[in-house]
Amino acid sequence: MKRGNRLPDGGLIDRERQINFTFNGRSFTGLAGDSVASALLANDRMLIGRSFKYHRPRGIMSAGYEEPGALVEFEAGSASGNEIPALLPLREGMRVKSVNCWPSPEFDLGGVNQLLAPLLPAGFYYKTFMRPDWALFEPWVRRAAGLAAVPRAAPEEGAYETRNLNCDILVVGAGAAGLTAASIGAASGLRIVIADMDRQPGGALLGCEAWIEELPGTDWVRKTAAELKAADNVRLLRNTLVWACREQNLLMARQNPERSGERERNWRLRARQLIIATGAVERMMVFPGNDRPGVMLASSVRNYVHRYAVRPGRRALIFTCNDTANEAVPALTNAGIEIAAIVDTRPEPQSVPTSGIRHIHGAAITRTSGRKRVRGALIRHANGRMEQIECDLVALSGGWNPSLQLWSQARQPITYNHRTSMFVPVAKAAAIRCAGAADGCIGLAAALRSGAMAGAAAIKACGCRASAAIPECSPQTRYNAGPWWHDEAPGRAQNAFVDVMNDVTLADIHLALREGYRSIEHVKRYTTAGMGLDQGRTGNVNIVGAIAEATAADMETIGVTTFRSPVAPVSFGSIQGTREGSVLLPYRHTPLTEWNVSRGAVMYEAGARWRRPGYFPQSGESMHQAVNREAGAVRNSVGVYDGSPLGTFAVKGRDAARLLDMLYTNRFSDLPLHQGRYGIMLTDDGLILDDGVSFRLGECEFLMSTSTANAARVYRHVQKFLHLERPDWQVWMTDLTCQWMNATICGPAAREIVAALGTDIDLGRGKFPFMTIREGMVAGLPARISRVSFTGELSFEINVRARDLCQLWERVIDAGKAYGITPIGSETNHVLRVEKGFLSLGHEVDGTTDPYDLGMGWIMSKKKSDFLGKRSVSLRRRRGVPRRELVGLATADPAQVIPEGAPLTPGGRREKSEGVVTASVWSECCGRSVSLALLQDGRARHGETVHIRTPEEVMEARVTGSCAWDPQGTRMRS
Amino acid sequence: MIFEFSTVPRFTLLDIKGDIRAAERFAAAFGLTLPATTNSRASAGDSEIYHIGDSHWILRAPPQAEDQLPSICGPESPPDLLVQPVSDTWAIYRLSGTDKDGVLSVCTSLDINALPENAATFTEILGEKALIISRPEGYEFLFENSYSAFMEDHFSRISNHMPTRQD
Amino acid sequence: MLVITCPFCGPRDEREFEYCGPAAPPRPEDASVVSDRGWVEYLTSPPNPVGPVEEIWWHKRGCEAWIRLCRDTVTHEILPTREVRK
Repeated sequence: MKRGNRLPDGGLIDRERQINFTFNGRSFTGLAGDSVASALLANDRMLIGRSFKYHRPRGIMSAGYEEPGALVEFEAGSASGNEIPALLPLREGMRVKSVNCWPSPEFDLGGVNQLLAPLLPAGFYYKTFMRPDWALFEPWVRRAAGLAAVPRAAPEEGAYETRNLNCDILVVGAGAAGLTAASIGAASGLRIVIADMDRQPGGALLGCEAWIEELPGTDWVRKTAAELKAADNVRLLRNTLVWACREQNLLMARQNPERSGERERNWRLRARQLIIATGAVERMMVFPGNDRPGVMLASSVRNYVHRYAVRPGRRALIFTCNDTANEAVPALTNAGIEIAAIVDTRPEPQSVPTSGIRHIHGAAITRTSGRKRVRGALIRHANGRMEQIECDLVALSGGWNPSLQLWSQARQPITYNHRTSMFVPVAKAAAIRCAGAADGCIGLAAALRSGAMAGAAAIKACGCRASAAIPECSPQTRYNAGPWWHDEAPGRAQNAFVDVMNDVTLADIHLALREGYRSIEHVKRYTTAGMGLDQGRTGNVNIVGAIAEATAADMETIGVTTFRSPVAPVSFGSIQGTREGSVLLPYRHTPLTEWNVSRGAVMYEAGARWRRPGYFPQSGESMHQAVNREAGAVRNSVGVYDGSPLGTFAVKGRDAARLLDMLYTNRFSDLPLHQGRYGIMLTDDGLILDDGVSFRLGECEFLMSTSTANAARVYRHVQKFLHLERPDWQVWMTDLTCQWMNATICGPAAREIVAALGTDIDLGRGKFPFMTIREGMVAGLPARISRVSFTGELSFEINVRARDLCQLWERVIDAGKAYGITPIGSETNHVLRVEKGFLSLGHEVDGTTDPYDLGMGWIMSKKKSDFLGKRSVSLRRRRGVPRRELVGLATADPAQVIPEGAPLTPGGRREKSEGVVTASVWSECCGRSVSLALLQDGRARHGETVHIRTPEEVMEARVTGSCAWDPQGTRMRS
Repeated sequence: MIFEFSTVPRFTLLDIKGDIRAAERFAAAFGLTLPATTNSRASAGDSEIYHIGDSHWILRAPPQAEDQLPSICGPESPPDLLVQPVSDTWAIYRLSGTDKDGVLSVCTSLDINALPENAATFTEILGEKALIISRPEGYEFLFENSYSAFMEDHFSRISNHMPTRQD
Repeated sequence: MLVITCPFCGPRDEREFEYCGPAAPPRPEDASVVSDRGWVEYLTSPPNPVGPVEEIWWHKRGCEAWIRLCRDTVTHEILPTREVRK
């Protein structure tokens, strides 16, 4: 390994553990504790890739998530999109490569774009690629767009997890301010969570020399973190980036795995008090050639020296407009980096100049030179003299930008502080506060004090007492920012970058302003400045400054763009968590699923998340054959199905009968004991909500049943009415759907089967009539039998406790063998109900039909003055608009089944439809297809021939009554 | 993670809704007094009663108790009380082990640390309504039996190698 | 996701609740005696304001309390709740 850039001592690295990795196929080594960026710099790799639009050479510019220059991606198999090398901990065997260049960053064919640059300013695509057709250009543009490749394979299942965590105080950021706030919080006994995006806490303290309480900064961090870790009431989350701040202090955070096999986690953090200690990001300076590899943020140079014992270059030029850059000088010098000069835009020296280093005041860099690496910079002195200074590193410090994304997401106010030339938070909400550099407190002493005060305030807001002990520290930082947005007469503004990631220059900003885009939001979108992976963290305020200078407007008035989540990229997987594969959506089963599946049932998704058997194909049967066989069994002998998912509710109370009278269109208060009645429920705006049979079990007690899919909806409907409209009524409801489950035996031989099971219930015709309910023992099990029929055949619904269902079912199958009892599925249920013309929600009940349309005017009680929906139904009917009514259809070709949803049109012509086919099945027992339709004025048109249009043909059919089988209903009443 | 997720055999469960005095009398028959605070439980011998809603309780007794209560739901039951056996409705699971809190944090948005010792409360677990009971040795969940397969499926996916505390 | 304070259970995550629309005026005692216009007016939802709005939430995955609360549609700030007592 080339020794050159690795310093002989220092750094938070383990010099004993070498790590091998490749970059663009070449092998390199680094040390444990390195990031990919520091390892590359240690190996003298500064040129990492090419820029987005112009394919200009790009190098490492920073040491954090504000990186605007260098991006890498993993080789083929591990591809995961764009990665910031400074955030990637170096691991053995890593294979990374450059992004957006081919064949290499050193020699890139895309570099020709640099020659085309004048034709490709901001927004060029709004004025080009239009004629003759955008679609001709699109594929080529798509291929050229983007940076890293999209991963080809999805990650394995089981890689993600979501966790919830509630706490009293959440501290975002474990730098000086955050750790101080968390320590004070820990002492109070409140529940504290502190999260930091880095793999170890410390924030800026990892990147510079400092002394806190007479310990080196990193030792103080280690000690404080250990104390926090040891405290029972503190949770320290590393590798955890908080990416969203939502209402009532709900924060989303992404925690990266540290070792292979670990899950990527998304944290849902809920805090009573939030402290945002996310620090500040150093500002770039804008001048031609400020994007060249070797141009870096001054604090980042310092970071590589201190944290990784790497010097990114040999001879540095410092370009600054504030005092913080001076603090870097001793560290850089000790690392063997020669400081060519400190170029300061401020006219007068603000602080004691660092001895031995050349200071040039009132000066500016007018351009850099060098192609793939900076070789020098051209300085203009205060008196106008130009001087070329050789260097391979330009360290910039344009000021600091507090990281306010979370603050802004929480809709808290931000203002521009002219003295410090920063956008800073304005304290407003009681439950959120900023601390440290995020609050505009630049420098270690200010950060520690700010953290302590924020911690104390948060504790007090939680109702506890706190003592805010502020740690002593050195050095004492001065800031003294003198904002400098760009040179007054920028020579080559088209090479002065305000957004290095997206290749947006100062010239582009001026172009946007000339085109009339004045609002900062418009400038952002027109130029795409601030829209890249780095979200313009190092350059956004420079843009505001450039606009302020160009338009003579106030920084405060221009403001910053709205920050939206996520703060940094988040994987979809971590948001999904464990909800994947078979548990993507919940599902429900009855105890019979195992039996069904063992008999070859094809399982369907029914309503309300239930899984039910669709049909039971026997060897080699098609679905059609199975359904015909099952339906035939029910009509001719006997079938059985699992009717458990039907909603069942116990309803009891002094006002129970009144309630049912209000909910249903027909009367229930006069229902005799142990009798049942079919009812329809409307919503108050007159639409059919549900139908079902309800039984009376006692003077004030009923058993209400609903359709399977609507059980929850009906329950809510009833509860809402009771609580909001009739709070004085005394009625209670309990859901029994999963308590009493049933096997429904249906067919001419049903009674014989029930008798064969053994029961103490008198099954005689007169003794147990249709629409009644009986209690007793069946097959030795406590049971309730109700005589309801959804199939139109003699039917006994045997309800037992869920624990007994399987046993009952086995006994039923056994008892029915002699009669050829056949288990049936929902497909067959559908056929049977269509043959009977029974309504089905979602088919005949489609949100437009009322009971009159369905031929059920008898169910709309004339005796009740009011019930839910009555008024609206009559209001609608009085409009005199023709109604679509339920009819049956007999196709001219009896074998022809009509596609559901097909429209009926006059003469089959392509005209406005007069109806729609709601259901159509082949009927074995009728020997023809049976269909139901909603047809305009249908009831007056029985016997007429109508036409149905499908994409393939026009069908003819005769209008009939809606019940095709046993219209008198004698079979189910037998 | 270290945890154990196991099924618990059926108990007698009665869903009780209605007038509080009638509920008091009913519970007294099991030797139970109604819990004083919301979302908490009271016990007597091997029976428990949970106060989990306004005028809403769930009583839990040994499995055999159910057979001794034939008249609960019949015409002789008190008119101002709706008592329904729901012993089959609710599947009961137990979660224990060192990392039980971590597992729970995956499943529910409920603030686990704020749960008092005798807590019994309805909440959402994996998006579905469930009753959670905190005990010294762990947690018990009750959720609708129709979701058992889904719940067991989901819990089998919850396990990982990440330690619960970060250093 | 909001934190909603249930009168019975205390503050709980929005996941336990179901939104049941803006708070409507009380239903006329007997719909049959209301004028057509009055009936339609009752059915039509109140407007969706920028700012505080009264709305109904149901503690569906909890104690099933029905809650009327006032929420600001811009900031999601919730003013104190009061249960609709049965």
